[in-house]
Amino acid sequence: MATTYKPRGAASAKTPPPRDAHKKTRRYLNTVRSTLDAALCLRNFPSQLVERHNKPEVEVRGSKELLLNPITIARTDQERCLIEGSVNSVRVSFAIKQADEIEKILCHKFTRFLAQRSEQFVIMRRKPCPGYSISFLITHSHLERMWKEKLVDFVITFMEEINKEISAMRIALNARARVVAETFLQDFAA
Amino acid sequence: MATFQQLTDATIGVSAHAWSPDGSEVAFAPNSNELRIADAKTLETKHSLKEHDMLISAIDWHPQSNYIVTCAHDRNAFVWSFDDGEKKWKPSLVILRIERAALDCRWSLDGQKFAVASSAKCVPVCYYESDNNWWVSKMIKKHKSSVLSLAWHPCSTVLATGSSDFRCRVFSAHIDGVDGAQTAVAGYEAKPFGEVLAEFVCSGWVHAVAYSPSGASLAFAGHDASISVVTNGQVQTIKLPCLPLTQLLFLDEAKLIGAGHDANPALFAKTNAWAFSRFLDEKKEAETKAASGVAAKMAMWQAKDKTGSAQGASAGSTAWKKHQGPVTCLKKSGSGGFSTTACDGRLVAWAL
Repeated sequence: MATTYKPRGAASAKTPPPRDAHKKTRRYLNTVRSTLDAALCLRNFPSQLVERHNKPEVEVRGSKELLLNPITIARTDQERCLIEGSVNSVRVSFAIKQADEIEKILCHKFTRFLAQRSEQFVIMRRKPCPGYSISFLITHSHLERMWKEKLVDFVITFMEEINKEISAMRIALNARARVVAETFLQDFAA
Repeated sequence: MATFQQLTDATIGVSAHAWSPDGSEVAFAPNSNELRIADAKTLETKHSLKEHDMLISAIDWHPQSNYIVTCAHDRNAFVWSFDDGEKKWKPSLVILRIERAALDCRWSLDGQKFAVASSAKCVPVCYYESDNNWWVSKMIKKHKSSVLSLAWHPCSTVLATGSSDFRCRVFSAHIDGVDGAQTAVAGYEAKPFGEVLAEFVCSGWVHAVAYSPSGASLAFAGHDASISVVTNGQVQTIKLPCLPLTQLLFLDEAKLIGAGHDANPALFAKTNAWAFSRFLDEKKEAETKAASGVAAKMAMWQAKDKTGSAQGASAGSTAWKKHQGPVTCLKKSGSGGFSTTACDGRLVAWAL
């Protein structure tokens, strides 16, 4: 039903996305993939500060020499990825594109929904890093249990899907808003 | 040429392994506090030793004395000796005096001493004290971060360490009571125990160090995906065409093996200078694929079933490799070959 309505209003006034946007996204995700491949060279590294502890150094940040320089990969100002490496863990944070208020709300609600269920995603961080929408924490024990390339695949697929999901939700929301508005205004017209 | 055996489940992995002097038994730690000694052919567990509390990080089996030394993240090390009467392995206590995890341990060539690398930023060098019937240690300090690996010079009085403070250091490990009178060795002047004889800078954490059989060359591998070989004080650094190496082993004076995050051992050879030679695990030519019809569909479903992707073991996939995870341990095995274990629980025997 929703498809019979022509797009109008704010959405149509905007400039259409560039034609090679899809290619650019692919290139962005490929860069993230190869960076992750290099960053996920982790080893079992027990804490050198606390006895009998084995904590992700990227979170504890106890010793400066065990942290690598963080890398930011940006597709646009809003859409970027931060990869922070350390000797036994890597933190990957994504900022998801939020073009307008609706996308901001959708993104916030959606990432919150996922983060609350972070146990089910194994490598997801319960709280994203400040300035980012969603974060993953990969430690050496994950690499011991899972194949590295599958883990990287998961992160990349997850990001692709989340972008698609938010776009789809926005379209559905706009369509629904239009139906609601039209039905509401029909009462006045009659 | 390589063959592999599955020591543990692929999700468990093996943290370290070592071969018995005659090569008939293999000792390994299945990423836990257990030391398992198994028959090398049948993999039947002969002994399961659970003296450690936490993950065993390294095992070394001395070829002459038949002693095994193990160290673990619980800050302890044990020297195991085989009791022929009882047919049991007996642990003997080591006074390590470290407050953090132990990461690596190695026997010196003569078997009189062993050294333990630790997160406590120091290296205890241990020797046997017959009066008290235990192993005591002397500390090498001077590290600014965890010590990740170590290697003995064949003269047994010089020790090289690799540390996460981006340095590879060479120390004097001469202990008067054990080694007798000190003489200048290996091109270094005679210095008292614990003094730095040489120091080399790396631009990444030094994951592995190794001495060549004669002691003429020292190699170390850094996290910046490079290895450096030091011969007569000359450092030669080679940038790798792969991910960083975490284990190094000299097969002879002109052949060096490295293994690490690529799960594929790399061979380095010396002609005039050291250079990367080849990877030892080579991809077999792609099997002739069924082009169409039922066979192609069948192959696709089989691949989906096995690997979870429609392409299966295609380009970009690493299913053809002998190892499916980062290599955790690289040891010499009998008859000039060597063996590796990795996080995928496999033990691979390699021969050149």
